Amino acid sequence: MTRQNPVTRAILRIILPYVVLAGLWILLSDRLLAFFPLDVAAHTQWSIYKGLAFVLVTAFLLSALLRTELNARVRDQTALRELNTSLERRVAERTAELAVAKELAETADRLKSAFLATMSHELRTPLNSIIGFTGILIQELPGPLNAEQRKQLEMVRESSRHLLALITDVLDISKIEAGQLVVHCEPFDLRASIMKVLGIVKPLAEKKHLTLQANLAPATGTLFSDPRRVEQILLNLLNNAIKFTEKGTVTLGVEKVEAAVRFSVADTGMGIKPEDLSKLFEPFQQVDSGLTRQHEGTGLGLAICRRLTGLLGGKIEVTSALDKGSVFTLTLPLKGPEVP
Amino acid sequence: MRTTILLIEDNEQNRYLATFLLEKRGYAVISANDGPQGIECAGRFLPHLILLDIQLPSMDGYAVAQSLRGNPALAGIPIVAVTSYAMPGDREKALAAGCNGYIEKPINPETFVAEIEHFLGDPGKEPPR
Repeated sequence: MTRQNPVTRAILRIILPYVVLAGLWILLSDRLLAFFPLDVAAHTQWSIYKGLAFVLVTAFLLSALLRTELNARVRDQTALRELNTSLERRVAERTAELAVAKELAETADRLKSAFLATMSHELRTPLNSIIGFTGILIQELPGPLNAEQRKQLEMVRESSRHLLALITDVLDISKIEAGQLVVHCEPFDLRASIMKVLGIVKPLAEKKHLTLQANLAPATGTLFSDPRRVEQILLNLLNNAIKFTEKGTVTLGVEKVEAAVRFSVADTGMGIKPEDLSKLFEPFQQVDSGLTRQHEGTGLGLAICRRLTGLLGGKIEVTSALDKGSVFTLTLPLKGPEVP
Repeated sequence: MRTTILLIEDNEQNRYLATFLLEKRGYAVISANDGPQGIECAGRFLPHLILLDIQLPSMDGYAVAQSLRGNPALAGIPIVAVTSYAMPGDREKALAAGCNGYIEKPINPETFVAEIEHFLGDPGKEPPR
């Protein structure tokens, strides 16, 4: 049934039947009166009665039509009210279901956090012994080592440090996803941080016979941000650049751009396919799974970088040409993230 | 008298590790396996520094730190939490419980002793040999 305008509906249901029936009455009553042979005076008299009867009949008719129409209106409204009530009930039911689901999700989230804290503790306790005792042996505190013993112990230390890095990465991304990671911003000497990071990656570049270049603009001064996190991001980008480059150069550029500092990490490595660029910053996505064996890692590094950059109020971007190399650009505000 | 360090740690290997590093540097190390034993040792030996693991059986490190801080005789002894708890707020919780410092496990055997010596800076105490 199509919904009509109330005026149209009143015309169709009240006025129209009224007009038709009143018109019929006038016609028929005149015909009826014409059957009786009456004189003019009696005819006039009957015409008055007929008029009165017309008023009575039409009044009755009109009231009947009005009552029908009003009843229909009331029925419509009742139906509408019932529909409203049932809709409200359904909304309330859905809301309650959602509240239960939300509660469940929150419980799961708390469990996840507790699980991570426990796992972190349980994994770090034995790792503490492994890294600690290996370090003691390499320092030759208990006694001298021969070259082979030293070499093997250094391998143990390397592997355990890698394991620790993986645990830290998994913990970091979980903390970020749970909104529990807070950055601590302070003014710090950017040049010192950069030198520290370069010092860490230099041996890795040398091992692969890559040239490690740093182009630092002279104005690189104080940055207001979280030094530990800035170093973590730069370290990650440089590590990646070295990891995915077989020959050539890895270049770190730093320059001031208006109220921001822009870091760029460029490599001459394998590059990234355009269709893979979008998933690069997603957790657990090492682009080519076939490479996983060749390039170890959690696939969390860039996901962590992007989220940390977000927390620091900056942005991270990438451009790449296959087989030519990639450039990762990190832009951070000089005065730290805007406090909401 | 040698500088004495009390180590409260329940994991045997980690206890051996810290003890080895500290003894090599000339410190006397007393170790306790749990909180109550640690509190008892602290009262008996009055060490120059307390290294405290946070996850301990029955009585956790926060409770141990609070208890130590509640005893006026021990109030001046620096407490350093050495813990593999690394969730947000752990450091703050340790400091709020009365610890002076916080070292995250795994410890770095090359820097560990230097890190804790930072908390032994009291000139009234005998320097380590």
